[in-house]
Amino acid sequence: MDYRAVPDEQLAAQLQAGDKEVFGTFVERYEAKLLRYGTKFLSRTEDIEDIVQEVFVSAYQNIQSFDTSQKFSPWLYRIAHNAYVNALKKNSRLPRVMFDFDTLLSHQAYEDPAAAERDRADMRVIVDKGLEQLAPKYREVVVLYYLEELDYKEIAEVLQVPTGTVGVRLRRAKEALQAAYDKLNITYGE
Amino acid sequence: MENKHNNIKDAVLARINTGEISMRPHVYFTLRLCALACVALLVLAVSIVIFNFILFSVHASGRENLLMFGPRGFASFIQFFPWWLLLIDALLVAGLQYLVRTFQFGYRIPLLYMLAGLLVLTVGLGLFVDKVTPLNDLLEVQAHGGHLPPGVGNFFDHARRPPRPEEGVCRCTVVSIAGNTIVAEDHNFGTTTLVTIVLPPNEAQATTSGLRVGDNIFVVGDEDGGVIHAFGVRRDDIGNKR
Repeated sequence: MDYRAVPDEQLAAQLQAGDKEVFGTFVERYEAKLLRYGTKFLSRTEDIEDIVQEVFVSAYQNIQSFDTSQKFSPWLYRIAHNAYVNALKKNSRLPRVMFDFDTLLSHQAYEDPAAAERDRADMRVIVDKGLEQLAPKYREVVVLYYLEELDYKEIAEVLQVPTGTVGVRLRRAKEALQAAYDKLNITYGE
Repeated sequence: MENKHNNIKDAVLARINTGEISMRPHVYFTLRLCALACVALLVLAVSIVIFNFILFSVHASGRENLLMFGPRGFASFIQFFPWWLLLIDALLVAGLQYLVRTFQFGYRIPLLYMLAGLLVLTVGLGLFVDKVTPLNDLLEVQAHGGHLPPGVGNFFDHARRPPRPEEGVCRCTVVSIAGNTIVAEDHNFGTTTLVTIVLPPNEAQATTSGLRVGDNIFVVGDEDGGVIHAFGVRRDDIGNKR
């Protein structure tokens, strides 16, 4: 059966009902995205395939916890986020903080779709050059927004932080990228 | 790259088809959510009971009187306040916010707002339990009868006891008044002790005015050789009701 036109959420409902065959479609749809997300977020290529495989295994095992009235992609990215964070912790590259100051207060987050599209187009070209200069929490939000093209609300669901925090992290990430580009004498935003 | 992708897909599907991995049933997630909610409610209940006990112990032991005795009384109040119980309560509230953040609605609320909300909830319900419900009196009666578990029982059994006279605090009954000296009986800690209280000549917060033999009083001062040089004396209404 051809599932290409079937939305993720409908496929998830079929999977929950016991149609195991549809899971292959999920893997086809998301494996390239998750490999790219993992490679950029973890700044490495080794073991990524193993981690992504475990992400799909975990998604399959926990599919009954997915609410089909919600979007599927943030749910899957959330599983991937947890797997990548665990991989970072395993390699002691992530500071063990009790809480994140970015989530302390409420921040205004306004997303202008037209400006966002222009910004995305500019950033996609240059984001690779300075990504490694960013702390993981900023690197991840840049990858999800500019490369995976998730919106603020979806990123908030993936990272489980308030939507305003996504805006704050993105702004700080861009400032840090700008500083990194200045240091490397790379032209920013053009 | 395409080959690698097929490897992931094939590997995952093979593990599914051989039964190596299987879906967790929906009931597993429902039960986990219920268990989490129960733990969160339990932590909330314990934090409310602890805050309620802090309020109860402060007024039942008469320590709230210290706040009427000016800066020195306030300093004594700070000294005798059960800070360690407040610390435990704060840790419980911090743990509670961690639990609440695991729910879908929880992470959407900024941390500071959630902590403030949980503190207001704990303090508000703690005040409500202390001021409106008879829970503390019931628990105290149960504690006196030895019907509560040892930890909780000890707390409520000793809630009315103020610090010892050696610490300059006395909750006692007036035996005699002569000039600026009061002799009083302290009935705490299972024994009756006579305590001499010397009042300063001109101190509005430490005067014999209005005191009579038989009155229960709350006294705070500097203890020296069995004599309390008081800087605060007050009729103890709670003590009188006992």
